[in-house]
Amino acid sequence: MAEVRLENVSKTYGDVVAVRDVDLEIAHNEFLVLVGPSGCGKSTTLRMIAGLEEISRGTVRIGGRVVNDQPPRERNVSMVFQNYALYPHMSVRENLSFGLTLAKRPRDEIESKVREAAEILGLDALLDRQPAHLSGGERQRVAMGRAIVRHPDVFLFDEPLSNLDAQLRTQMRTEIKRLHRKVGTTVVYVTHDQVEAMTLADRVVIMRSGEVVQTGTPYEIFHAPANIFVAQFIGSPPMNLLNAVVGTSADGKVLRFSDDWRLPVPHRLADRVEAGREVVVGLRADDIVPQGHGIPPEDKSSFESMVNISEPLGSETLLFVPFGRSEIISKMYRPRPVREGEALVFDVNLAEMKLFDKIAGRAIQE
Amino acid sequence: MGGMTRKTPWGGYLWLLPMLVFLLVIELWPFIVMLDQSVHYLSYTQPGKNGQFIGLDNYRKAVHDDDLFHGVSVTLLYMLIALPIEFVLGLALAVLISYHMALKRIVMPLLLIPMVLAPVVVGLVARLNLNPDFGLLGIMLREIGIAPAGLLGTPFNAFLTIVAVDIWQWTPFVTMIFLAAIIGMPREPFEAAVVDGASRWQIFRRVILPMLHPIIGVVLLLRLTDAFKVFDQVFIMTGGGPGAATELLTIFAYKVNFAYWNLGYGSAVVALLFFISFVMTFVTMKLIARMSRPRT
Repeated sequence: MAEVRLENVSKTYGDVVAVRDVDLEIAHNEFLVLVGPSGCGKSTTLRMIAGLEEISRGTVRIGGRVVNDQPPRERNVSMVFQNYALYPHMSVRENLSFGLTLAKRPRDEIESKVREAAEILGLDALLDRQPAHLSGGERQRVAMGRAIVRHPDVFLFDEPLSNLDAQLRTQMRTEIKRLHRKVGTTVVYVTHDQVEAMTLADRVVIMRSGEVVQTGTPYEIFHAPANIFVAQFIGSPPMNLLNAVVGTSADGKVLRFSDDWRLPVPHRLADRVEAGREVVVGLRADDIVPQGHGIPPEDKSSFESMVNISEPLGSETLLFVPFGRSEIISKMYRPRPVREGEALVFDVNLAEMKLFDKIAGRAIQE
Repeated sequence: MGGMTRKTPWGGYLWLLPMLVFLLVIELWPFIVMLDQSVHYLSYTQPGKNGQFIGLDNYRKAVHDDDLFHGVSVTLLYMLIALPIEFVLGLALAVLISYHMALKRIVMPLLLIPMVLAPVVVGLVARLNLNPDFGLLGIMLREIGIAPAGLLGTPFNAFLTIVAVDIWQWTPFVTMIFLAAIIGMPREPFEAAVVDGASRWQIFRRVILPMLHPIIGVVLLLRLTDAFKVFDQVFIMTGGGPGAATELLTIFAYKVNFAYWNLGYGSAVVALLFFISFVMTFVTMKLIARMSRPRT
């Protein structure tokens, strides 16, 4: 059993705070992804768990033990690095067995563990190759093999797929997920790619400027972003964000956008905002549905606009549409060819509309 | 440029001409003259016989010359002691500095001092300092009873001293190259090794050292060729003495040519010196090529 706990963990370099008061509980066998833009402190957090970075303040526990002052080798963690970090002078076999040889394990054990790891990762045929003769994907598999032979308590991944091309990345992503199912160890995975985070994670931790912004399942962070930053960071294309002022009309509260474009305030949020308040309205492209394409939302409000640009993606088309003086993105499912300048009627799914406080950026809760 | 060279294929060689002329005049021509001299009689002791073609007589004489063999063995011993110490010390320093990069700014300038000094200066400074009557180090050594005649006064001490001076001058060079190589290495394999459970010694032994293999070969080559032809500092310090205790092959060759003015024989000695150095370099380069080839 190896759960990982971070209690008020901070990292400072002189006056610069790289990580501030991070509190995390990672359950045994959980796949946790730390995600955020570069410089948000996610890698530093991971390296503090690994023991490659000293912990300035706070406590890190692995399996209940405080490991703050333990060197990496006593923490029983394995790490996979962005640029593979293979030993260039060793064959794949030697790379895999290095950690076990250091631990002076018996030869049969080393051999069987190497064979087991090679089998899981399909490296059997490559065991006698040098890293220089491997492709990027093969190298990353060796790096993962090196991590699993030691049967660590915790796997740490530091942007392992960033150096691979898009197609290979998708493929390796699935392999990592499969590997986790097979090996079943606690995983802490760092990435700046929100798609990787969403697809791999049991739970996602979003970081920004050294602090945790939101923690939740991929479903939660997608459907209930805690603030504007998360709303924009998670999801592709990014959530449409529009400034609006709350007003009143005969039918209840309305959101007034630029050029006096209007949408009703969803019923569930009507009590939470008073007239005159400045808000930011968040709408995902999926919730702005061109009529006749996809399922029309139940709780909806419609508007008509002209298509500026259309980007066909195959199974769907992204439409860039003026809304007031802004431009929003709508997703057209089961698309048909759309002429630029063509006028369409769009249904806005009010059930999924988010409102954020304009000043604090926080989501306005129901 | 590309268009021009395509039209006149010889145009490119034109640009090389100055360098080619320089090499021909400064390097190749004297070498040919030397080879020519080595098969003729040319000495100031018997000017009457000068210019007489004597075939390989000079070489025959050289391979039976005990003084020449003494020179070879002194040179080899000099290299055998100095180079390993320079390597171990230099590598150790490089690794230490790489662990404490803050040191680099202080240590680097200090390391540069011996390297930027001309060997003649090194020789003069060493001789002055070691003088038992007015050299700082020499007086101190005399006062505490070590080497009352000066470190350069007895054969054994003199030999150790010239080796020590070589180590002092060239260890920093080894350090700098290894340090540059270590700094240039990717950081991740080391971190991977740390997480894999390697101690500092294991990281050095099993990661740094193997990754340094190609560089070790290059440094070895440079130091071998340099140490083999060392002359100035030793000549200034001891002139090859006391007796012939520090008479390196180069000093022997100098003496034959410019002390005894036996230029025909001297040319043969220098040709042999060149031959030994050539073989040594060739073998080392082969070894390097083998070391740096990745195993498959």
